[in-house]
Amino acid sequence: MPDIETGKLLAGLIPGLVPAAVATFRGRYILAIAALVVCVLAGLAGEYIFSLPMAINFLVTALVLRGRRGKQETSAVYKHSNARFYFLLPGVFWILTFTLFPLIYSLYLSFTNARMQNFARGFSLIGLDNYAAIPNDLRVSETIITSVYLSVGSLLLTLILGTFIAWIFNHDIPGLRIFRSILTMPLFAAPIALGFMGLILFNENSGSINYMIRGLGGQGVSWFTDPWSARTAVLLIDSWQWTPFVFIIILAAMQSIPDELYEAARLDTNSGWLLFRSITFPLIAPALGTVALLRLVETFKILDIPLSMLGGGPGSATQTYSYYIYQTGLRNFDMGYGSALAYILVIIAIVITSVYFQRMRARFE
Amino acid sequence: MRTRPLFLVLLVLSIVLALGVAQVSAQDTFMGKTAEELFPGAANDQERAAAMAALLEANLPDATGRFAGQTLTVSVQQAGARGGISGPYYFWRDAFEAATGATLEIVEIPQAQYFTTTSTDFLTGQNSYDIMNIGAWFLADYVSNGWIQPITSYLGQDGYPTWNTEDVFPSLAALMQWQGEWYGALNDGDAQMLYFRKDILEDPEWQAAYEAEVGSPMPYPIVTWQDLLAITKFFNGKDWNGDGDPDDGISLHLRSGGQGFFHFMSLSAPFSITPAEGDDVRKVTKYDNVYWFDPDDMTPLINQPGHVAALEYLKELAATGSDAQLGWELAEAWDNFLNGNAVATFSWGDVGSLAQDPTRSTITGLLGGSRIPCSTHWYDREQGAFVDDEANPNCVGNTTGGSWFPVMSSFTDVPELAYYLMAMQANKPINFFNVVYGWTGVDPGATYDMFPPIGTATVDQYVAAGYNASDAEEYITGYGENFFSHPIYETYLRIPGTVQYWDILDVRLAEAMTDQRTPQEALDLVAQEWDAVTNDLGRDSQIAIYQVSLGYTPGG
Repeated sequence: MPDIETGKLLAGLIPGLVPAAVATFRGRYILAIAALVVCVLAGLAGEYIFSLPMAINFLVTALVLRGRRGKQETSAVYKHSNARFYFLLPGVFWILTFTLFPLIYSLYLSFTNARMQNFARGFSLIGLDNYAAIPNDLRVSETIITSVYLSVGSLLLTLILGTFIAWIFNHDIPGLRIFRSILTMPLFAAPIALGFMGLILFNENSGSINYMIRGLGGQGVSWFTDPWSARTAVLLIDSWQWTPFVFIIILAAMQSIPDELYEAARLDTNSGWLLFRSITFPLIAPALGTVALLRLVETFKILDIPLSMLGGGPGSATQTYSYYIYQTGLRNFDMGYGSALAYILVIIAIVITSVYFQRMRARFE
Repeated sequence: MRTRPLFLVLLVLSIVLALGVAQVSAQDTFMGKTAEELFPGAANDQERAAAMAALLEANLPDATGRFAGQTLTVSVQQAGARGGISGPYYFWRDAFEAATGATLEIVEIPQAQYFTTTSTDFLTGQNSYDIMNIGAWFLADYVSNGWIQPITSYLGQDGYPTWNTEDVFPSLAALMQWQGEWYGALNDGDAQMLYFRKDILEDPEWQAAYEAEVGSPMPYPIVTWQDLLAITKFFNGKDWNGDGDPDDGISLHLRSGGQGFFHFMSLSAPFSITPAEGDDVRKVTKYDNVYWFDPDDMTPLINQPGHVAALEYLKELAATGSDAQLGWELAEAWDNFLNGNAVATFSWGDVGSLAQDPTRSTITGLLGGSRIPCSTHWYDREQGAFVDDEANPNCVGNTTGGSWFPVMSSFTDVPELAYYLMAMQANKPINFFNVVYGWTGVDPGATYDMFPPIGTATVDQYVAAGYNASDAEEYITGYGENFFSHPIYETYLRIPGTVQYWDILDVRLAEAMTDQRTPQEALDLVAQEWDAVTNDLGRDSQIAIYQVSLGYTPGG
């Protein structure tokens, strides 16, 4: 049995052997040594988990750099051509370490019973158990209802409002640039801050929304205590933030429509609605589709606003599917099940984008 | 020569004066620093002087030779330099640094994220914090993962600030220990007690009005939950504070993701926990003195008839307050009571001290307090039937809350320095100062905070810190009775996964309170989800840890 230090050394060293071998084969000896040293150091520091992405990084680096064997090493052109790969390395390193590795590692975790209580002591593979448990999980169905309501609601609201505002701003209005800048401001706010802002605006006793409703002769709405009102409050805050995004894209699409088309159409009609329906809408449809897709994926990830505004409540009323993933993986530390839940979301996003791009391709071909 | 005697007199006077100045100077500084330098965050001169007096009385040993140049990192709940629980670390930082020569770094983490952040820190091997200021329900996860180390070996050692573990309330001391080892040092002492408007409930006119409307005398002093409900029902919707608007009976905070579920814990205990038969009424058996799970097999008890009856009662009680309280945070519920809009609330000790703060309270001098109420209606699980007894209600105390206390990381490089800070915060004069000043969020947890016969404190000590004498009497007496006068106490849940168990309870309780589910449905779901968590964590290991945490022996 190796002692602990030897075990650490081996845990770090083994992943590093592959890139070191490839680099050696390609004549990149310094790279090979660097791969071994970094991986061993990661292992000895007890950070075995980082040894693997480091090894992947070195492997990719070894593969993208041209080998020295049989090449004109003194050629200035050759050296110059290799330099571009060095410039790419930080980006490659970043993507492999912070995107690809977590993606692969979380896929692995989704087939295990890993959770905080057994993470240090060791966890085991449990096959598809985590995935099999998802359909029977009541919280999943509850959070999906909320996610679908927020996604569809926010999507429709932002698209309609964003398009409408873009249509208004597509006319000659004095001070348009100032208004446009002001309108885009919510986009730059942190969602978590917007949640806290919502907490103030929608406060049932002292919030300005209920104050206005009462001022107009209505009764205050139970924004925080009625489940559907709470979901609607989250939906309104999210829509408020993302309407400018739709507005910017659609305005750009509208402004790219040649004036000649409108001038020709005005020979037949002066109806603004007919012009919009027959010219503007068909020509902004691709942009609308792209925006809708981006928003749809984005709305399924809503987490910050319900978390900061309502703590997911009342009850679980504003807990979205993403919220449940966060709670499972990062609050209850049930990493195996949390990863499986996350992968279902990834699959949904892939399906939506694939269908969309397939249709777009068919449309333009 | 007549000048010689005069010269001698002047000389003597100068020496006396110099010695006097030196004496005063020595008393006014600590390690060469003045109160202004040590307590820049004090609200006023009175608070600064009281802090300086406490610091000098603390008699902290000079440890600059051992710790100079070291850095200590403590993580604490995010509330700012004058906020609850985090505030004292900032307040005493300069004094700590003067005494040790070390640097104290304070990392604030939002309370809702505290467990997540600190656990992630350990899981990823970052080990950023030397001390974590944790809630008592984190302890099992921290200990079972080996993230924190016992401090028992440091207790009583020379070279550290002194504190006496015997001073700590026994029920709180148990929360800071695990299997006989001390992990936490005294800081905050949490329990929930009842607060009410003494001026209103003792007003003969209101008592007459109550009798005229209800047909029976007002049940005051409040002894049971049933008494409280009758009173809050009567006062709810009436303009009893004379501001022209209808006022509330009760003030609670019940927002999901907050701390509202603690209300249910305190309230439901006398509806669902029974004392053991025989001499030792506190003995844990399969049926008695258990609240969370059956200690033999971890079957959840949360959906038993007693718990369900308590939740039905809580809904009834909440209906005698503002509808908005279902979405309130803790501070909103406190402020509603402190601003004179509710006739009663039940909460932690903070309400008693905050009631003295003129910037937050309009009810100074009007406060009433008593231990948490008992219940005339409870479920006897062994008999499988409800018991109703108005003459001998079921009384169950609690240690509900976090009792936020510092624990030491197993991976700290500066364990001795870490213990110095823990001991300093637990030191009698310093801890007493924190207890007395409400902004600190530190509630009484030691006998020296209590009046005789429990402890040694006097009303004058509280009055000196700005308390109204009557309020101090009501608050401290009620808080002490909460810890010492109940025959039995609600057991604290201290097993791995407690955060998850409580999250589930929080969500489903809120669903019942907002009429998304009936109390029975909501608690059935809690039981079902708790079972799943127990299975995931390993039922056998959970049973073993639960039994240890209760001191339960199967068949015993």
